[in-house]
Amino acid sequence: MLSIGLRRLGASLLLVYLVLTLTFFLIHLAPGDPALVLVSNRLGPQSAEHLRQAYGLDRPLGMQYLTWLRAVVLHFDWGTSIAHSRPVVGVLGDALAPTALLALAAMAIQYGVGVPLGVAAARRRGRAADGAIRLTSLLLYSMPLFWMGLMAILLLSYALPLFPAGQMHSVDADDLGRLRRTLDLLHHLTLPALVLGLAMAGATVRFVRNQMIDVLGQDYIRTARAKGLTERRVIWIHALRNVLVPIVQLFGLSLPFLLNGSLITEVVFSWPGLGRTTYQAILARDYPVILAATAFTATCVVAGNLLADLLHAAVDPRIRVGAGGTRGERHPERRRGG
Amino acid sequence: MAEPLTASVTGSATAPRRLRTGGVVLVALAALVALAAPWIAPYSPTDQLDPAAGRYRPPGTVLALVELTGERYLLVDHLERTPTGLIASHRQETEEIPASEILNLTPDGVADRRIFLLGTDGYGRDVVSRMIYGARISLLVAMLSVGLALTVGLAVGSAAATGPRWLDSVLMRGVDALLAFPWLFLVLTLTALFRPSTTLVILVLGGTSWMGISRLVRAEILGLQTRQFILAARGLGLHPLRILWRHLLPNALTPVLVQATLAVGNLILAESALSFLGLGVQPPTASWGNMVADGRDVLLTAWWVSTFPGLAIVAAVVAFNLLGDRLRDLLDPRTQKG
Repeated sequence: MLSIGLRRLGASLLLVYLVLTLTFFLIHLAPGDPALVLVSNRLGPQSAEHLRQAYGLDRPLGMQYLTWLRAVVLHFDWGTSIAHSRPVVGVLGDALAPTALLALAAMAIQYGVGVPLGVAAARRRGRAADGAIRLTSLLLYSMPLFWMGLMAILLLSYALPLFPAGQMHSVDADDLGRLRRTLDLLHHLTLPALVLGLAMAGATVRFVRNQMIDVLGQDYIRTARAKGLTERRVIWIHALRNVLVPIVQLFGLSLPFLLNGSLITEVVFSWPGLGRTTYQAILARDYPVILAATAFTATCVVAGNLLADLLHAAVDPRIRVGAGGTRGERHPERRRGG
Repeated sequence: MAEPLTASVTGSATAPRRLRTGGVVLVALAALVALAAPWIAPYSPTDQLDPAAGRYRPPGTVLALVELTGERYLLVDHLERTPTGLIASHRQETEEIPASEILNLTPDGVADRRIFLLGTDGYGRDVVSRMIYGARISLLVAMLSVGLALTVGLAVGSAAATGPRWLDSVLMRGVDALLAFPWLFLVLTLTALFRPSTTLVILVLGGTSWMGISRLVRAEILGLQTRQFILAARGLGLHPLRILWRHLLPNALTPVLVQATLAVGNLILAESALSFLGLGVQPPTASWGNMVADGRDVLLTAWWVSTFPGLAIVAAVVAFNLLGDRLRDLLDPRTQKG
């Protein structure tokens, strides 16, 4: 088990390194550079040369790559943000907490809504309630997230002024006491978290429903019922426990969707998180920030995959690393297996 | 293939059966609208006849169109016919126009009028017409990127499944690496680095969504390799490429087609998100995504600009998801869960 873990860890680190190297060359080989973006905004052409020298953009690409890699590996120095004129670690560090907060709140909603609805639909399979739940989930995962956000703003902060339309704090938040400040933050968090959480709940409902239907058809469920257990106990203890493993795996594998979703949600709600910061960095060609953000997100995704794999291996002894190369078989986005 | 998760991911019918038939109708309708756009769109999607008077008119607005000499147009709320010409008023302004300047004058007013069923945007363009032309762009982008993804996915998947072992490892690790990229970050970086255009969107979307298909193709072919008819074909001494082309691929295609149909929905969402973020289809070309973006800043005063194109996206994505489910039911009776 340990050696499997170590091997997978090694492979994951290699994967992150590959992703980063690919991104490095991709953005450096593309036309245009950050100096041009900065200069066209405020300064003259001589300044562009000057800036290129200052950021080392005038040196051969291989040299730039080695210098960059050395700083990152040896000193965890991701360089200086060109647009913010301060260390990248600081820029992204500031954005990390808001994104983590948004992501956690959204996941709470995703699973808090998705799992019970999925179970309920599976129990009432083929009946009207099942149909209604499936229709809702279909609508939720067919909706563009940015539009859902705009509609939420339109309905719940303009038409019915219940929640603020964006930002993380009120303008006067600094003058508030600790408790009021926290409440203010939660007030701002509600709408974006609700939108992101419900959007992801759509796919979760569908997933849980199908898992549950499979489990409910198993022999051990019939045994549990035959023993005379209450239906509630059969569903929530015996069946749900067996659905839990794939759900935890789903969590690991759906991290990319969470990151994509939070980028869009943050842009729509002006939430000062990682996604919005990255989006702005991409528009400004802020290479160091793009690279560090890619590194961070790729690490999250790879860690999520690793978690899902290890969980599966821990639970199912038939799974041995490398046996049959069935990694892809367990991806929740796959709608059909062989 | 008897892993619990695999077996259950397969069956994931989304919606009640009757609805799934509705998907076919909706997709056909969307395709028809896209193809027949020039004939069914009431007006041009890009004409800005009289932006000052026509901008942000609510749904259902009817305005008279006064055609002046020198290819100038006026959109007018109220007209009064006088012996010497017209007294035209729009919004707060009233002006007198001599008959000699008017080209479409009739005894009791002017011959033309404009009916804005779903209102106008900030340039006075008709939202309905833009949505109809937007269907063209959005569906075209989604279809062409699916085509690209299918081509690459089939090629990579069959190469991995039938080629030498090292090639399989290299290709599948490459797929892992690409899947470890948080998809939206990759796509945003790519589109931001080059000059955004519709062609670029197709290349980027197609080039980043073939990985799932290649895994599926590989798994299908690996599953077929040991079947008797393939062994027989091999025993007959057929060329490997012939076996691949005539025997393996046709049998692997069914689930691939289902996956591709479901991918169309996702690609419509992806294109709209990119266009919403300003990195996809560029104005003045209308796409549903950039139309939603157009209305973002005027949500409070002109809600219709963002709302209706968003509904079009939802309808199209729901349609393709339903069609995909229906196809799966028809082509693969094993997975019925309805």
